[in-house]
Amino acid sequence: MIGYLVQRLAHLVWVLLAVSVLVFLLIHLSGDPVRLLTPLDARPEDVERVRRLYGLDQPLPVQYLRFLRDAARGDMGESFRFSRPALELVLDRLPNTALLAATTIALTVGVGIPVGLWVGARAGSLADWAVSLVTFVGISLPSFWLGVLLILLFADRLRWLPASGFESPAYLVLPSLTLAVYTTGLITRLVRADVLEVLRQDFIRTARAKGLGERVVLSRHALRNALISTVTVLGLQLGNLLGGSVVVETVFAWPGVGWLMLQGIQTRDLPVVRAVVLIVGALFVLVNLAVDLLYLSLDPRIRYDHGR
Amino acid sequence: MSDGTARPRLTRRDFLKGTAVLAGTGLAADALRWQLLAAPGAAIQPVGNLLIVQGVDAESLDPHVTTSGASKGMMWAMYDKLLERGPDMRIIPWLATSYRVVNDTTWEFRLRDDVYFHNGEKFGAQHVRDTIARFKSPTIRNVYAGQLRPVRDVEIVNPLTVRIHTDGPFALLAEVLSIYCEILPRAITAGEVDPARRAIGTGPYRFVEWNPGQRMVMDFAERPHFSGQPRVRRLVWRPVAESATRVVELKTGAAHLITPVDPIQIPELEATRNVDVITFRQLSSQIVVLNSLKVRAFQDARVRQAMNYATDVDTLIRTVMRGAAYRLASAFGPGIPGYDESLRPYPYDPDRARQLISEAGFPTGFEVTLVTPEGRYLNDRLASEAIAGMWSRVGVRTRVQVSDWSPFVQGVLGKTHDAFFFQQVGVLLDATVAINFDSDRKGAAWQGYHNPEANRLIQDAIKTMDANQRNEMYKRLNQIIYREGPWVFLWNQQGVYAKQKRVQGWEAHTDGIIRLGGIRLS
Amino acid sequence: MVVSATPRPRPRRRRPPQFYAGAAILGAVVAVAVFAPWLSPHGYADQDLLRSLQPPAWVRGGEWRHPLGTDRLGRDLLARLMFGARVSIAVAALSVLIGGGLGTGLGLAAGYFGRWVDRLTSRLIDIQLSFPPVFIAIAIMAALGQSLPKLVLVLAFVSWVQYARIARANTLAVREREFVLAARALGAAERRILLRHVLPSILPPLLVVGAVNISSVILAEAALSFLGLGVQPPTPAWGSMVSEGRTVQSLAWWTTVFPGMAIATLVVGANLLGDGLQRERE
Repeated sequence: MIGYLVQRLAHLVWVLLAVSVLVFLLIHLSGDPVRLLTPLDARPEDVERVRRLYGLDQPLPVQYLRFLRDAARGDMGESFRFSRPALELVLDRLPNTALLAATTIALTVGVGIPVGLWVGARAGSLADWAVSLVTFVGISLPSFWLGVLLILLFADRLRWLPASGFESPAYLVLPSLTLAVYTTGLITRLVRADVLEVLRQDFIRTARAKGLGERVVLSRHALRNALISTVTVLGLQLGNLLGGSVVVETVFAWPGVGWLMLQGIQTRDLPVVRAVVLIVGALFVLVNLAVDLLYLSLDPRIRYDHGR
Repeated sequence: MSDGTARPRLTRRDFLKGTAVLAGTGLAADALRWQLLAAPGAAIQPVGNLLIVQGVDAESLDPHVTTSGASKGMMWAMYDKLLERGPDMRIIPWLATSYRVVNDTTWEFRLRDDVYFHNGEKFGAQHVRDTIARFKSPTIRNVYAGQLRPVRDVEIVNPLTVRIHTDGPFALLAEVLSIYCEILPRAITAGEVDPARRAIGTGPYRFVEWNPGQRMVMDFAERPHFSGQPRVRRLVWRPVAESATRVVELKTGAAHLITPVDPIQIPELEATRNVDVITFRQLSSQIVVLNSLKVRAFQDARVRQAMNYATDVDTLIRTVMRGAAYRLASAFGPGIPGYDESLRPYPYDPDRARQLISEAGFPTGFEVTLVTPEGRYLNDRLASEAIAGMWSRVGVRTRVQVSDWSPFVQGVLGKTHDAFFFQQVGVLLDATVAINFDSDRKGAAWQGYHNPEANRLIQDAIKTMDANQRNEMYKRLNQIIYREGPWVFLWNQQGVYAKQKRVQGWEAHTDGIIRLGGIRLS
Repeated sequence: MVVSATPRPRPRRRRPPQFYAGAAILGAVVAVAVFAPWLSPHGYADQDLLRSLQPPAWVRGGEWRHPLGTDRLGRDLLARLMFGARVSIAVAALSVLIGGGLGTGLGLAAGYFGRWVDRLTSRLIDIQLSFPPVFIAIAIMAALGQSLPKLVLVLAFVSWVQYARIARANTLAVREREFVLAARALGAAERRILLRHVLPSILPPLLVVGAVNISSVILAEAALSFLGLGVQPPTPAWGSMVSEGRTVQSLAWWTTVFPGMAIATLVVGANLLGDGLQRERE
């Protein structure tokens, strides 16, 4: 177990290295960052001077090695766009995205799993049809469209809720609602599918045949197995949310890392993009690790034969 | 309204005397009212929180590093320059109460007394010297450092007078100092305080905090400012990228003043109670640049003229821009030196266009890719698509290519776009014409246009100390550009601000930058 | 006792209605996409500046010439919706086929064979999962420019992981199941085991993943278009139509509502189909 953990953490390090190289190449090969920072009417000598000040005149490998050296000291460079340490910008915004993600997940799990279990046990019933209909609509709506419509209704017409930014908890409502509609629908349907799948399987039939109550059958066997896929998908979705549903953050001007990432790429703000990717990446891998550990605890039959 | 109407000696006279001479005209009344020289002791109690929402955030807290109009608005609440611009964009005294040209290479500035930085330092000549030195310093990421390159040194005559010595005649020093070079305290220029972390200026508001991409907060400075500010207790600046969202913020009261506003939302705003809409004619020119290095046909002036005839600008303004634009006859609009109101806009004449193209040797037309950014300029993509349709009708088969800003800029610099939808021209004309039309210099936006007379005019103008003569040269340049059409002349966009009615005492500037003026919340 | 000469026919397994409903919707959209040039009343790039922002025909001010109204440049909205379907369909179909095939194959191999195959696949999955799919897609499209092939590959690239994870996890679970062990004990070939026993066993959740994936690819393409990272103009895409309509949404609701409804409809179709498939297996 410990060996497994250590191995996974070692993974983390070299995954991050690989990712940092990719980001580096992506930004550099796709356009000149300096030219985006300098207005067109700046004189060429000023542009070159600025390029030197940013250290962008060095050959790529040198730049990358300098980054590694600095990163080891905790210095991820200064944002080209905001003249602030990139790390600081990311850490400032990460809680906002995490809050949005957490709220969305809470809504999703709190509504999706119970409902999914409930209709899974009543497949074919009217309730099942009704829920199916609602979840269909839920996972079919483009989030940006839903967000725009929600703003139009609740902020513009009704004036109940604010449209953008994050100044108080009320600002959290519309963005998380927008995100939660999709994920809740998704999880509800997935849980339902898992429940149905599990109910079909032999050992459930056996348990039923033994005369155990429906409820016992569900809770002891079905739930546990249903959760495997759910946890997987939740883990993936959490990543999406952690990364900052870029679109929702754009629509609602939510000060999270998703928006930071998008505008970082568009302005070729290398330090910021790098910092976002690495930090979010590290978090994500850790979350995956947690997900896998959950697997192990949920289904002891799965064995990992790494290296055997 | 161009400087050309002023008599030559006006720039050498005491500026306050100058405004007294013009007192009879509305212009001077504006300038005077806007200066609001408050008597010391006549302190007005600042009241309220003013929420300003713009499209982008500042690039830095360090004023010398900032470049966008939005950030200048924020900086100039906390920092002052030697000179400023009134709502009509005329130069007005600010930290310098007057200036004069002593000789071809020397300017003298009289400085305002009784001005203090937020950290207590009293403003004086040494601050001007140190700030200019820092502005030009190669260790600062100041992309405009070259603007003050001709400044050789700053001589301190007495604590309230400086003389700036230049290498050769630097005709535009006053103009430059009314836009650049915010004055910094010793604490910053001596390196004790990092201006990217903390702002210390002489402005009416002092820095509280900055959350990049989210909000910048300023509180009123204890001392009353010579402009009559501060009249508001707290300023909060927020960036919101979408125009539609900015409008919603204004309607819900989460913002008191917003800019820019997509003109298509003007009717909606006008129908909203408690909201005022302020429109003005922007200074910058919206154009299509024709690259004669890449497209052989564009080397012929007849073809370029044809492109102007082929573009139905009035219909574009009416439909795509919904009337929120002012037709440009030539390269420069009113308010820019060199504006010539006698030049008539090219009429829409597709037949003439076809004829000219044919005469130039392209009877079957030719192909062009029109490149446009998306969301950078108002209706850029829509306008480009419409223009492409118009050009195709006269035989210039045009394809639109929408480009992300970065590759777009690369293409402009690399001169690889056939033609592109663009915006140029600002308050400081010399920079614009130099990078666009001078084939000796081959500047950033230059796309192959070559005319020796234009080069001569451009290069001589910046050395001409006499404003009147200089403006005549720009006028001649404008006439040449008009005839030779390296650009397709489209419009000046309508700038739109929207504010809640309780925001009073404020006037819009035609460069689109927010200057506080007498702003207050009632 | 009379014994019937003809055996009683076995009741045919009827597909659930969702399946047909979904297939019908998808079929309709595909048909519209394919036959757009013939079905559409106008070209998608035909501008009519004098008829800019005209409302749908049934609203005052509209005309039947433009049944769903026009956009800012006077282009017919119905035409643009029809041609926009092409982008959505093409991107969805190709991305899911490529991504799904790749992901299932790798996941199956990893789960079944273990050892270096599993290590390699897991490592790939980890790297991939290091940052969320939306990021990758946005990053690549924003940095390297837009085009249809790039869009398809990028979306396939971010999709395969879902298939791989589920396939692997379920393969691991199934691998030790009685019937698999039995088949192995009987000496059956690996490939046969994989195809005949393991794959069918892990397919149900994978099909759900697939159905979800089609719809999420459609939504991702719409989101990318909304952000301006989709296909080049003047080719219309439903997502970019919503984006264009945002500024005028108070004035001209049809420019945002109809494209959004189109996206939702297509996704509903995909989901119905998937759901139908899933119910069928029950």
